[in-house]
Amino acid sequence: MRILYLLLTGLLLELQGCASYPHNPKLDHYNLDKGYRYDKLNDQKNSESLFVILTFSGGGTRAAALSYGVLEKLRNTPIVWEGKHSNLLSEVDVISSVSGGSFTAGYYAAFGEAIFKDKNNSGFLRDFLYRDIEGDLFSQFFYPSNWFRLASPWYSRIDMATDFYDEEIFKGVKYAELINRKTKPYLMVNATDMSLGSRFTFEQAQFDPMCADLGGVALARAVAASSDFPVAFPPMTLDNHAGSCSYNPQQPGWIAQAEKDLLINPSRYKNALLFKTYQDSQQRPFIHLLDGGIADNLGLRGPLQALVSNDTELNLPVKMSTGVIKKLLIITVDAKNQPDLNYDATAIPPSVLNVLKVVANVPMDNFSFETTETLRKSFTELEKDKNTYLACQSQLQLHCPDAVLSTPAPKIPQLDFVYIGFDLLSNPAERNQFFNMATSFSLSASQINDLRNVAKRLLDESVTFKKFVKTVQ
Amino acid sequence: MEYVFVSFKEDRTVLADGKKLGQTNQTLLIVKGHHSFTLDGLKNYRPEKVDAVIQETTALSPYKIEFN
Repeated sequence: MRILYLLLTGLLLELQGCASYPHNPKLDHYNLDKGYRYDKLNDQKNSESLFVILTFSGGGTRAAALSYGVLEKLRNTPIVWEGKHSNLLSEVDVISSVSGGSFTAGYYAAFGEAIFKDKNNSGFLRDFLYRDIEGDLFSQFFYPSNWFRLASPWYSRIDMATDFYDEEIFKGVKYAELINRKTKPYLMVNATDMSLGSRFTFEQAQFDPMCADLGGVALARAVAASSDFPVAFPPMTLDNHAGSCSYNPQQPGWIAQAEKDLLINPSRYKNALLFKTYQDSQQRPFIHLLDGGIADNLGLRGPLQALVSNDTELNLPVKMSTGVIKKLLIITVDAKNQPDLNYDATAIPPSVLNVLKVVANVPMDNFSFETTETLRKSFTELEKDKNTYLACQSQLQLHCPDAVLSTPAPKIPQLDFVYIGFDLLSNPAERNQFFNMATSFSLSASQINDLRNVAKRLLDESVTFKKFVKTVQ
Repeated sequence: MEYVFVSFKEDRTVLADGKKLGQTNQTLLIVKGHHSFTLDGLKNYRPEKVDAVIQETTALSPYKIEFN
């Protein structure tokens, strides 16, 4: 009996000891020609001259369904670009996503058109969108094998959720497959670095200073980190191998330059400092990630930074300056809800739970609003620069025909920003219906259908979208 | 955004902080701040590099850098 007890105890400890989060592999050598990088994609079917960026917000299944509806609409929008007939979806270059939106973005990046398989077949609709993911995740707690694994300090509920997503939704796809396939869209799954409170994007440029190889990371892991809702799940752990791949002596040139920019360009300076923290595996041997919505619930900060800075992986200014991009369209899909809570109807102060809800959501919503405003302003400024130049040139030709400006006009493409959100719905009852939809990974089939349909309608009703489509038909 | 114009006798790729910025003799978009400019390829130009603080430029009056 005693021997049996010892054997069982040994087996349990063994099981528990083996259970660990999947360790992200080391990068042997820092190499800009390898890894998941936008410039390494080579998709012949997708032109860069028509550059389309989609951003998918957080908001559980509500966000996943709304963004899915947008994909459906773009697929059904025929275009003719550079003499070639296709649809707008096939021209999407980048999808940047957060939390619930990352499921749709990740699935489309991994499986392409297969995302549109109907509900009767294994695919996104059956395996994720119309599925009670919350219930299925909860049922994982009843598997004895998970009891032992969860008893390990190195394996937590977020790792269990990752395994579930990997097996049931993403079918074991790793970033290496996206690298080998070289097809667009380029996927930017965003999480939040818990220690820094800043955006952490699953792309090789973010993994380089950690000497970590994104190729060996499961897509499910990125999506799980992006949707790692605080309290419901513990933070996800990544290993930091910094110092082992010759990155530090060859760090990108912009970092040393940006370190001098505290007074001139504080946001560039801050980005450099944040980036450098990953280069120190003594100080930060592990990185802990939480839901991307904490740093940016729209998934728009990455593309915004790429628009106004040459320091990023995507580097849109160089694609504009060289005339590669002729038209740039950014569509932001915001599934933000706004539960109808009137705290002012009574003199009794709201409960602690309600206060916490406000504390958690209000700063995030304000930040999202500020992000879209910053993007709009950036577009306006670029257009103003272009128009000022052209106006000056035409005045010069009018009054002084022999004179020429000393430098050529900057190549600034047509810029369009389309925002899709429930606040655009004009019918108050309908708006409230969507604003009151829960943030959950389990919505009814009719709610999901409504979300898919409203996404299409909002695009149809968008003046900017309609104008844009006319220019490519 | 800021603007920079790098002149050179031939069409070459301009590097800012070691990364492609665009082509010579074009008005190029660049983020505000400190930068180090060089040309890609043959080192048949002078000076070897130009360090500059790019700010307060416009599309009509970009920061001008001359390589010979």
